[in-house]
Amino acid sequence: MPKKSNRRKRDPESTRMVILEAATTILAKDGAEGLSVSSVAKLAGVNRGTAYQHFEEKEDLVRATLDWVSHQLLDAVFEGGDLDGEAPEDLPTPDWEHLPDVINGMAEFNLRLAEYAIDNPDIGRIWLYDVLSRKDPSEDVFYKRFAQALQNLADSDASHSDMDVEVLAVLMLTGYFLWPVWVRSRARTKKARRKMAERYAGEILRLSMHGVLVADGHMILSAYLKKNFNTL
Amino acid sequence: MNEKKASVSAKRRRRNPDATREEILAAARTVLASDGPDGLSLSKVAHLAGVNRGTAYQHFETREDLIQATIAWVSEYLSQSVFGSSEADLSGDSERPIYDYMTGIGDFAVENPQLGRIWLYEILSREDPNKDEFFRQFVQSTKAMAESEFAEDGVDAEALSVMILAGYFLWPVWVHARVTSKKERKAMSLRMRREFLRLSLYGSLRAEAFPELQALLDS
Repeated sequence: MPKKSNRRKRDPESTRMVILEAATTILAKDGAEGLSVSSVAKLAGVNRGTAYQHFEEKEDLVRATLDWVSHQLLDAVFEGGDLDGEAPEDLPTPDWEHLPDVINGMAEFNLRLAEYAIDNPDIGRIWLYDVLSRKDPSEDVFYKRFAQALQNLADSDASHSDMDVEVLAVLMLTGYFLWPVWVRSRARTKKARRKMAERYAGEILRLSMHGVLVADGHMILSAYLKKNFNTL
Repeated sequence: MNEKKASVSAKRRRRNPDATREEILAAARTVLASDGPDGLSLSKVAHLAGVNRGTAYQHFETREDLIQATIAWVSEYLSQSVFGSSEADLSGDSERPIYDYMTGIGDFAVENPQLGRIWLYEILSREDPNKDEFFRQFVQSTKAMAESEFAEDGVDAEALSVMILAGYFLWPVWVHARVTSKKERKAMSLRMRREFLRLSLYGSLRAEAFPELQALLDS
């Protein structure tokens, strides 16, 4: 204990990290309602005064924790790029010519995201609800990068035209973070959870590549679409 | 609560326990949506419903019973409005393809953002979500479609079902942070339906010209 507090005195940044880690644990378990600066300080093993020096109010601490989660997610799922959520300059263009690379990249991305979500189910879901309820979700580093990647794809000739990027981003992200809820009672070992992550990542890849229906042969659906959606 | 109104409805209730039960469940939906499962108590619900606590306890012995009954009410409502009374024919060549059913889900979700989200979480976290009648029917329909001649090969119906429901019930969280009128919400609900249709028909990528990439999916 004394040794630890020495370290902290020397290094406010690592104290901040210890506080954020404790806050992540409490937020995952009890949600924002169940979190207080003092309960976090207690779990982190720092005194309350120190915690308040870092985070004046509960709201500051919750916001900082979710931002931290977003950075961790960014780091775990995207390759390269900086911590402000900007994509690296030298990314290959997601165009028709590079489609095999795009699909390979997507396969790996899907798996990393599915694994992160399955390993961090509660905090992942809380982070997601928070992002979706924000007036401007692109203030979130992970969401910003994710939506940008989808937008690049939508703008390129590797994708079908007419994609609604905002809706697609929400559809994609929500599934990854709700799948672990369904998985929880079905996969109790690490290995089983990994299989479930692979399964979900695989279905999303399949969906992205082929959709669900054989569009050309589906006469009834085509008629339905024509009637209800002139544009499709 | 208006005293006079309360006493009138109390009289009606004495004659009709079913109506009382409905009123308690309606109040429970409101409380569940605003305070979540952790914030729901029988006395809070009884107060909002304008019935006394003893009456509420006669209908629902515990807080947990009331929460489960509320979740079951949502499932029942969705089953009725989406599938009707009989098992849906979603093999693909029915008069109403699955995409038509999704309108009912989308409209309910966008008008009940908190309740829908809490309901989905409760259902998915069960030991066996298939014990929920709506969830069972929904997965069954997705499976029937996946096995029909109109479907692409290799659809994982369970994963797809979770994705669709998650998207439909969390989209409203996004919607409510942005628009306020019913008309705008309806437009947002249509936007979801349209993108979901597009995704189902075509996917996101023009992958059909690269059959060798199929190996990624088969591995």
